[in-house]
This record gives sequence, C-alpha cells and structure tokens, in this order.
Amino acid sequence: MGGKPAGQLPNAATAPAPGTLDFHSLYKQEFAYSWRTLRRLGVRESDLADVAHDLFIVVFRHLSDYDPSRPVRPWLFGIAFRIVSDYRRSLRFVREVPGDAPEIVDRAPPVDDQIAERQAREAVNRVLEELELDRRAVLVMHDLEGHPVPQIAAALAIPVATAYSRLRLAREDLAAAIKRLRAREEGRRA
Amino acid sequence: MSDTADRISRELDEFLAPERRCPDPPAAVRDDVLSRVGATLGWSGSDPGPGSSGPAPSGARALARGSLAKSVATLVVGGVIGAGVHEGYDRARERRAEQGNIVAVAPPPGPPPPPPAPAPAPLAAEPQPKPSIVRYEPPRPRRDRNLAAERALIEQGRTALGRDQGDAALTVLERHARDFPEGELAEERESLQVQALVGLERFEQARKVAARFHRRFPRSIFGTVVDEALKSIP
Repeated sequence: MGGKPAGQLPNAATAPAPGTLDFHSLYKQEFAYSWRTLRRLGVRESDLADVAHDLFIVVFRHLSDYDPSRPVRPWLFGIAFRIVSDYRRSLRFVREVPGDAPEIVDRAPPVDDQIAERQAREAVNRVLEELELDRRAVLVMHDLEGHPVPQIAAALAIPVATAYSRLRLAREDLAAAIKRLRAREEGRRA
Repeated sequence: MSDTADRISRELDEFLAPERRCPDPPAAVRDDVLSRVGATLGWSGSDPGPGSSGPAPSGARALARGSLAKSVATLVVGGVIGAGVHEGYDRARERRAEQGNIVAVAPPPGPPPPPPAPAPAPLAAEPQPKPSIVRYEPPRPRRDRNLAAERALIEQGRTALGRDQGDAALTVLERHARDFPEGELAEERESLQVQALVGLERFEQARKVAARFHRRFPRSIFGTVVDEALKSIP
C-alpha cells in the first residue's frame, strides 16, 4: 500500500546505494509516491498525468544534482512542491470550493467498505484543499508520509522552526476545516 | 521542538488514516506517463534509458525519404519558415528585452570612458565577444509555469514530424522558439528542428542548426538523435 509513512517503507527514508540511482529505477520505485504527493498537494485528477510528466522531466534534468547520500523522497517532494506551486498559480488552475459539490455527501449508507474508504479519502483531500499550500505541504510530508520535520525543512528549503510552525498551523487549519466539513454534512442530512 | 512533542491529535490522525491507505496508481498509468516522458525526452523504443544511442525517430527518416514533389512544395513555405527559425531567438530576445527580461546595466560611475580603441582588425579571425552592456535575467518562475505550454508545442511539433509534416513542425517549433527562447525544452526543440530540416532536405540548414545545437548543449542526451538525423543525409 502506497500510503504508509516513509519510515515504514524500506526504501523510503533510506538513501539508495551510491551509484545505483538511475532514472528508470527511480521512476519505477517512486512513481506512486510522486503521484500521491501531487494529488495530496492539490493537483486535480484530470491533470495528474500532465503534472507527473512535468515532474519527471524536471527530475530527469536535475538527477545529477541529487545527493545520493540523502533520502530521495524529500528531494522528490521538494521538486513536486515547486511544480505544484506553479501549477496552482497557472491560469488553468481554478480553485474548487470544497463542500459545494452535491456529490460530496452520499446520503445513502455506503454499499461497502471500499466506497466508504474512497469517500473518506476524498474528504481528506477536500479538507486539505482548504489549507494554504505551504502549510499543506508540511502536513502532507509529516502526517501522511511520515517524514521528520528537519527533513521536511531541508526539502522545502525553510528553517526547521518554520517547518514546525507551519505544521502546527496546518493542523489547526485542518481541525477547523474538518469541523466545517462535518457541519456541512450535518446540514445536508438535516 | 521535536516530532515527539508535536504528535498529531487522535482526531486528526483518524481523519487522515484513509488517505494513508490510498492505493498506488495502476501500472498502466505509470507506464503511460513514462511513455510520455520518454517521448518528450526523445527516447526511442520502450525503454532505452537516458543517454542511450537509439536511432533517430522514424518520422525523421520517413521525412528524409520524402518525395521530390513534396519537398519542392514545402521548400517554398519551409524556406521562409526556416529562415525565421534561425532568427527566432534573436527576435525573441529583443522582444524580451523590451518586456524587461533583459535588464540594462548602467555603466558604473567613475572616470569618463576611455578614448575609442584603435580601429578594429579588418578581418577578425575569431568572433569577438560583444560588449556586455546588458545582463540577461532568466525568468525562471515564468518558465516553470509555462512548462505545460512548452510541452504542448513540442508535442505538436513532434506529432507533425511523425506525420511527415515537416513544414508544420517547423512552424510550431519556431513558435516555441519565439515564446520560450530559453525554455526548459529548448534542447528538444532544436533536436526536432534538425530532424525536420533533414526531412525537408534542407541539409545545409540542418547542419547549421545541428552545429549550433552541439555548441549550446554539448552534453545533451539528444546529441545522438541529432547526429543520427545528420547521418541520414545522403
């Protein structure tokens, strides 16, 4: 399963052996991580393939810049973060207002656990959409992928204290957004 | 501060749990994106890998075998377009200067300029560097934002090339050169230009563009593709 925190994956937080990192191995090993990261940072499903393409073009071009003594995923995340920043600033990005889509809440009980799980994931990503990207990135890296804060700070080129601050603020924003989501859901059921 | 002291609350942890369990994307998606990445980077075959010396794309070879009639028809249009390709960079640079991307650097205050230098040598054996009165500031953020737009143009050019539409390919590539003279995909653009020119049997122009390509990108992974295109010149 791809969503486990980095620390639980054998190859996630550990650096590849020197000289072993080639583009195709990296692509094969880290595509799922990159895909998840892009989605969690707010890339729409319809744009994921395009943005993933852009990400790996940049990765290919900058592979020689990668320090193999460091874990690869934070490096990838840093690239993904910058690409998503540009993506969200681009004209094609039209922010979707969370909670306004009528299909968000299914009044009928889920037919099975798979649907319930998918709806829960959609709810997570809708709520994440309410967070500022800077905070969201730290939260995604820490609370979803399990990267330690110093590693996050290095990946995003920010001071460690800033990373901690963003994480705290992101969680506050997340808690508030969850409350709003649940209030909307209650309102629709009422 | 530490991760231990900054543990997530139980409520948030439970809320995020489903997302942590999200499944990986299907292998078909992974393969499709890799295929597109390979196409953008000019890899031939399914998985030759970076730096491999694959053959020139079939489109270029097909173009090289194009009929004389087609070439005559396209030479008229392509000649105009091709001339524009060569000057596209300069024009684009001038336009960017007007837009502020080239920042004029005022001469430093100080003593008056020295008297004019002696008359230049009548025939310079080597190109002399131009006086550096402007400093180019690459608009990186904008360039990054426009990567998708760049890619779209490059893909159009590649598609036209694959359909034996060398003149159309050059038109699109010229537009890329005009809009993104120092774009992320400039290497791809120039390698495609060489292939298109070879396909249109504009061999001399192709050689010039290829030479410029090798000067600008001496270690490019597209070097082999460019060389293969030149080798196909009879």
